[in-house]
Amino acid sequence: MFTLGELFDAGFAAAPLPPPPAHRDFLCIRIGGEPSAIPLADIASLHTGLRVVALPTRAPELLGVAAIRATVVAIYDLGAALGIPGAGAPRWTAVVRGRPAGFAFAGFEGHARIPDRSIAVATQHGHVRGQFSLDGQARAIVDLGSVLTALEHRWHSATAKDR
Amino acid sequence: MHRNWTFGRKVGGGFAVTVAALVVIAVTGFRSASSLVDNDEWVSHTHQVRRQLADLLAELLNAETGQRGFVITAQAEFLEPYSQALGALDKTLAEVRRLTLDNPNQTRRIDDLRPVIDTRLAVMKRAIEQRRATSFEAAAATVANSEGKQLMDRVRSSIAVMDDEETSLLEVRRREAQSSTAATKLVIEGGSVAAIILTIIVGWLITRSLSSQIGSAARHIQSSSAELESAANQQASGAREQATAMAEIATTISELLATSRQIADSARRVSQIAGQTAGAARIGEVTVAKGHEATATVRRQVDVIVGHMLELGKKSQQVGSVLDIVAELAEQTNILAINATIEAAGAGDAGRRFGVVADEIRKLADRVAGSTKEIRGMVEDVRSAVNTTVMATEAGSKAVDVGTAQVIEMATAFRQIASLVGTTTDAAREIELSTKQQATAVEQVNLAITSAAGATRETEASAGQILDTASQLAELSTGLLQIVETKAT
Repeated sequence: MFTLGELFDAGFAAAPLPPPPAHRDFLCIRIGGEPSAIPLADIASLHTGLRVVALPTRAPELLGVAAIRATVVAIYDLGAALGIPGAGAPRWTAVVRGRPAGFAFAGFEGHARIPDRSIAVATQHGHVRGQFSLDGQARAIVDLGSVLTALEHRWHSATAKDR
Repeated sequence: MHRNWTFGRKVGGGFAVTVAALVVIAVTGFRSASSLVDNDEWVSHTHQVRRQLADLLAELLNAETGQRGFVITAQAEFLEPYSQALGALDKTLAEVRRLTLDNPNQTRRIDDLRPVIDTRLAVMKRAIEQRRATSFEAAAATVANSEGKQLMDRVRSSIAVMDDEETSLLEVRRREAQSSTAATKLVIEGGSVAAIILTIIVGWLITRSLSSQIGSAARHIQSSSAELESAANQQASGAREQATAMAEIATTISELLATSRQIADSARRVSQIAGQTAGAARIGEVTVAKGHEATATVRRQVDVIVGHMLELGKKSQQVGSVLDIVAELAEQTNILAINATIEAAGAGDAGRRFGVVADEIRKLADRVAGSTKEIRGMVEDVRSAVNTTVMATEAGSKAVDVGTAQVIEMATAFRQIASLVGTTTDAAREIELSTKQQATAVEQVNLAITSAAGATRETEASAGQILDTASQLAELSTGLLQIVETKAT
């Protein structure tokens, strides 16, 4: 059994590792109890304990807006956006890369680096891009861009109707 | 005669009547006899007076004879009758006067006679002195003088009068004596006849009354004898049954005596066992007191343990707080590492080494988060164990309290047991003493029953005797009744 300091020192004392095989990084989350994953490449940052200011809106998915790195970002409830009831109070927020929007979710389980060969890429089925197995448990890969696009489309459609 | 009078009263009454008649006869006869005796005494008195008068005359004649003889002979021995007469005359005169004191006429006559006699004696004395002093002639002249003869005639006349008086009195008293004798005879004869008649009448009345009463009583005795015979038979039968019952009672009492002795022995053993139990109860009380002290010590130790457990719970909470900080730090580090990884990926090749560092940091953060999670689990386990221990300790404390209360109750129960055992010991001793007294009493009862059995046997024998006596009494009453009824008829 090594102490934490020994492991830390061992990590820096070791020679640089060879380039790892092709892989992808994911955030392992739970939406309404369902194990899911968000590609790390799809998000710009991960936050917790954000102060979200609620806005008067007819969109139930929109929790409000938050200030992140001097940018106003719209915060959506990922479970509500995916239509999964009972997702719980969102605590974590993932900001979508390149977009002023973020999705909040209740359960964050950690970071996972999955080899490409372990990822089963499926044709777009809803907002799920694929899936992989971690610790004997299958996780659906949620496409946040798709979700956001769908929300924007719905928003625009509603606005057009109002007009 | 009264019908309600008793036998004794009737007989007594009859005898009383007879005795009364005899008393009347006796009193009357006594009075007659007394009168007769008095008359006889008076007759004797009269004869005595007459004899004294004759003696007086004779003495005077003797004196005259002596005087004459001396005058004639001048010899002194002829004066002896004279001298004797002089000595006796006074006595005779005094006796005559004493005897005639009841008769004033005779007393007066004797008083009148006294000087005559004295004068006559003086004349005699003068003649005697003349004979001595002078001569025969002077003395003879004196003797021949008629004075002497006259005096003697007067004396004779007076004595004759007095004798006549006494003779007439003698006649009167003789007649009175005859009268008294006749009356006495009449009283004795008439009274005897009357008493005989009265006795016959009273006897007949008593006999008739007593025959009636004795006959009735004899019939009563006869019937009573029959009843007594029946009662004696019943008594004999009852005495035999009673004797049998007495024998059974004696047997039962003997068994009861044996049982009482067994009870006394059992009570004595109970008393001994109760004493041993009292000793054990006292030892138990001491042991319970020690147990109570040990329980109090356990209670204090449990309180200390509870305090330590609560302190441990507080420390666990503090460890949890620190773990929260560490977890938050790890979480923030993980977020930072993830964001660094994102940024390194966005930096291309230049950010690859930075990405490696970020990965290491993230791994460390994951490791810290995992350890923190494990520690939190352990802390939670510790807190749960502490809570469980505290609860168990509190339950144990309550159990100790309950045990303490039970120990106190047990001590109280032991004291009560000791007290009750003492009471039981006293009661057992009282039972033992009472049972011994009861055994003694039963022995006395047994003796009394034995005596009673003897008395019952005697009663049975007495009943037989009573039966015989009743039979004899019945026969006797029958005979008496036959006698009475025969006499009555």
